[in-house]
Amino acid sequence: MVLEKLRSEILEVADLALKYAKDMSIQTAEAYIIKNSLTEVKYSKGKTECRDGMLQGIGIRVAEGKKVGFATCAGFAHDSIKSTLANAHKIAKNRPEDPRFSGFISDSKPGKEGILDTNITELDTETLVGHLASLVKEADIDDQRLVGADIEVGTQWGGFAVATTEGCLVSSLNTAHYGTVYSVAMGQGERSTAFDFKVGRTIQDLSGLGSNAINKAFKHLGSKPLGKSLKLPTIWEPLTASMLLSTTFQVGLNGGTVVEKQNPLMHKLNEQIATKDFQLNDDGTIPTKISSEAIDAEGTTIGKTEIVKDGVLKSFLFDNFYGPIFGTKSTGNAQRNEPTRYENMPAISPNKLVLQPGTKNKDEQIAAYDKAIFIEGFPMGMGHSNMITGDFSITATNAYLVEKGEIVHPLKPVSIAGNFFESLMKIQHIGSDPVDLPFPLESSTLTIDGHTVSS
Amino acid sequence: MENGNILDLLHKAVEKGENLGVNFIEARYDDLNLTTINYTNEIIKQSSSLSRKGIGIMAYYQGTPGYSYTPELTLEGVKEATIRAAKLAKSTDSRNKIKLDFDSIPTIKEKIEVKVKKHPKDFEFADKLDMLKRGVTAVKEQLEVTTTIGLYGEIYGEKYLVNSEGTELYWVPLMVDIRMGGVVISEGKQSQGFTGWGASTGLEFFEEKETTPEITGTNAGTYCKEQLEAVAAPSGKTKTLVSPQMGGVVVHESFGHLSEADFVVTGQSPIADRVGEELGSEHVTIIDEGVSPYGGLYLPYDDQGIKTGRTVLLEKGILKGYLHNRGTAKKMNSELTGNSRAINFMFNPIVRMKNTYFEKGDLTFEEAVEHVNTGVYAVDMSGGQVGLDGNFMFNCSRGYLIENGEVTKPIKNTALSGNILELLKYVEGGTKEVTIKTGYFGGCGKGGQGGLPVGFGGPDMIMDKVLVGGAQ
Repeated sequence: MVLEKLRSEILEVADLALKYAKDMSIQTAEAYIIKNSLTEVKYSKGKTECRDGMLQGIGIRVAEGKKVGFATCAGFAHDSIKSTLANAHKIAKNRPEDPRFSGFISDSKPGKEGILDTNITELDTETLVGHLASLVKEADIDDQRLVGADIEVGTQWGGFAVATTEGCLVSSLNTAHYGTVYSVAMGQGERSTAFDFKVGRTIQDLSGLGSNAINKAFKHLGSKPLGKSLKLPTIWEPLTASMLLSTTFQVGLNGGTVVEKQNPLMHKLNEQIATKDFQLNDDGTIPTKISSEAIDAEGTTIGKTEIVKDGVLKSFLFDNFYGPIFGTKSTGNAQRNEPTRYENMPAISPNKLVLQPGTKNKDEQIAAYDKAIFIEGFPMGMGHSNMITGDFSITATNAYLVEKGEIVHPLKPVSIAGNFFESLMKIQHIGSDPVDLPFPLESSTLTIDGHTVSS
Repeated sequence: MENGNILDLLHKAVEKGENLGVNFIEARYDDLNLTTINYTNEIIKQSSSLSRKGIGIMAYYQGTPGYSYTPELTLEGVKEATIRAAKLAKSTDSRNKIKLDFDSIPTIKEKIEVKVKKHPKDFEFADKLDMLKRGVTAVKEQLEVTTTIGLYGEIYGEKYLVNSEGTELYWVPLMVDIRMGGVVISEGKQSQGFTGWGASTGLEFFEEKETTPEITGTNAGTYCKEQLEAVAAPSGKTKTLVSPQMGGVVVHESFGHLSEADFVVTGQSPIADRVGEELGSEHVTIIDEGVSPYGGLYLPYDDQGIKTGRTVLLEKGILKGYLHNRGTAKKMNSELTGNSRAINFMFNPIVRMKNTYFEKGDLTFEEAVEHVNTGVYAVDMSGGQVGLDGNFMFNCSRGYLIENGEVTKPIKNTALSGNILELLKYVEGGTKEVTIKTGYFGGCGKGGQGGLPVGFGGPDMIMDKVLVGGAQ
């Protein structure tokens, strides 16, 4: 009920923006309207901090011929909508023509909306604080090694609408509930950190998150140096593997940079880029995923795109600007960046890249190696890699030495150097253990050969 | 909306909150306008105009905070936000073990209007674009580049604050910024020069001798050209002369965040409970200031309505204090420092820096270079990473060798790393000239509130045992 009321409201605002555009003699415009309720409750070493509110705003693109201007405002006040239209129009008039601009979406039919959980919209603050309290209790243990745990729980629900003067008027709704725990442990002067979280479109069972995060941090105490640089197989837990592959494909699949001739995979369409057992699809229609929406940020219907089949690259991802330039349609991959979304222009991004699971789980992969490195957590430096060449050098703070099929001890931070794109051809195992993650790509445990690992 | 109406709405929020049984209410109105022009390869690649207007309500119940906000500037919207903020504060109070209540202070009623010669709101888009065009021409006069970059950013608006003490504040944030860059990618060679900064002034800033678009463009082109001939940096622990902008980033990212009292009261900061300890050499004095004689960001009040002052964090190497909001100041029995800041109305104020810098030394630049004798002059950076334990790594994007007491060849991009708490012990002096940089682009990120304008700087500082990573 609350969600449907919200849907009506954002569609009305979208329609109103177009009406004002017409009144102002603006021929071509697109309005992106968002209204999202956000509530977050945080706890850090005894201190609470909480925030809630309704994120609501409008991002408007106005086209004057092939000149496009962009402006935004917070809230739905009528005066703000009019001044935002005027600002976008002013910018459009001052910009040079972009002959490649082919217009906004003219027609769209919303795709499959993910699960909407009304329990989230009805969740009161006291209940949410109760979720926090359970995690605080898990972290309240009598162990001197535990320095502290930062805990956060929250909800988000709402939706967005897109309307264009070309006749598009569509919307998408979503709900989400999450919990995160970040723990810090100390032992004999050594500091260890770990993280665990859960997020989904329905109310999540958060029990165990606190204990998991703390135990992970404890597990890494007593680390030893690797000693020397070695070329070794690296085994990446699902979270870490997902980070690695998300970085690789977020850059490599961007059809915009293919058009701009800046994409490292631009000449690889229909070529082998990964091992033959590598199957990857972009799927924004999975009902349980928080990233699933009925439409993308330009109003295009979201669907499923085959990306890699048997290791062969089959498609890039496009929005409504770059798709036609490349000679294809939008793949429904226009997104607007967080946290406000409406303040950002659409940019190409995966909806949800899903790697088809393989046969061996994490333990079976570890058991398969005489010597390897097992990597957990969030390595540092992934974002500072050279995405033109694909070379990366990251620091893994939660890594372990594997010998004779078993984890023998945690390692002091190790640097792992390799190349994102070459790594795809050196995958030795794709795991059978995918995990629900709020990343662009969800992977199972991966083993990759040929990375240089050094202390 | 008329000013009187806004003040009235904010007073209504305070009244509503007090009727709900909370102890204290801060009601804040932000109306910020942001304009960005990205002029790449002489095409407006992107341009946007953002309006961030709304009201944020902070409620305190027995020292427990709750925050809510609304972009709806109506009595109904504001009351709803106040109810939610009060509810959050009350609901979480039983779980909050660190109560950050605070003492009353005298009511402040102040309206600060800043007069500038050329307010950006009075100039057309085309005037701003023209400055970028002039800068790009200057870049191209230096060398043949593959890519030219021109960025313009401005932020201006109004801020109001009303609280349970009857305080009524009004002031106007303002920032303009121009960055210029040139990139060369040719067979086997890559080079980039990028420079520029902003100021809390009007567009007259770009008419000053050192900050015209022409000078900024010329500098970017020159730095790009230098990089084509750059040599590999030395590897290992190196005596380094660190420029105001490089040192400013190091002091902000590595030391400043450790001194933020929200991180100190929970015991997480490695410098918690260490006031009076010697953390650096006698040459290190670190200041955080809202309105500085050295320029930088203009910040007369923080988002709790506290007048910003000059806070001495480290004096001649001795830790003197931390950066506070009202609650942490009371908890730690400290003076108010005016460091409670929020990026916009959608966020609660948290402890943030203002203008953070190393205080001046007594050397001339020549004496400083001579003192280093053999080492590196690290001038500018692009990207990096810091840890909560004081560890840092920054990419030095512009630097030079120092050989036989003279600045000589440009060096290739290299990593500078270390631990700030170790490094401060090896500071051997600073020059007499302090510069504070600020800007629209970049800014500070904390607690999900990225891009907050801050200032950072210092003189040229001599630091020994900086780990220089060699060529990348």
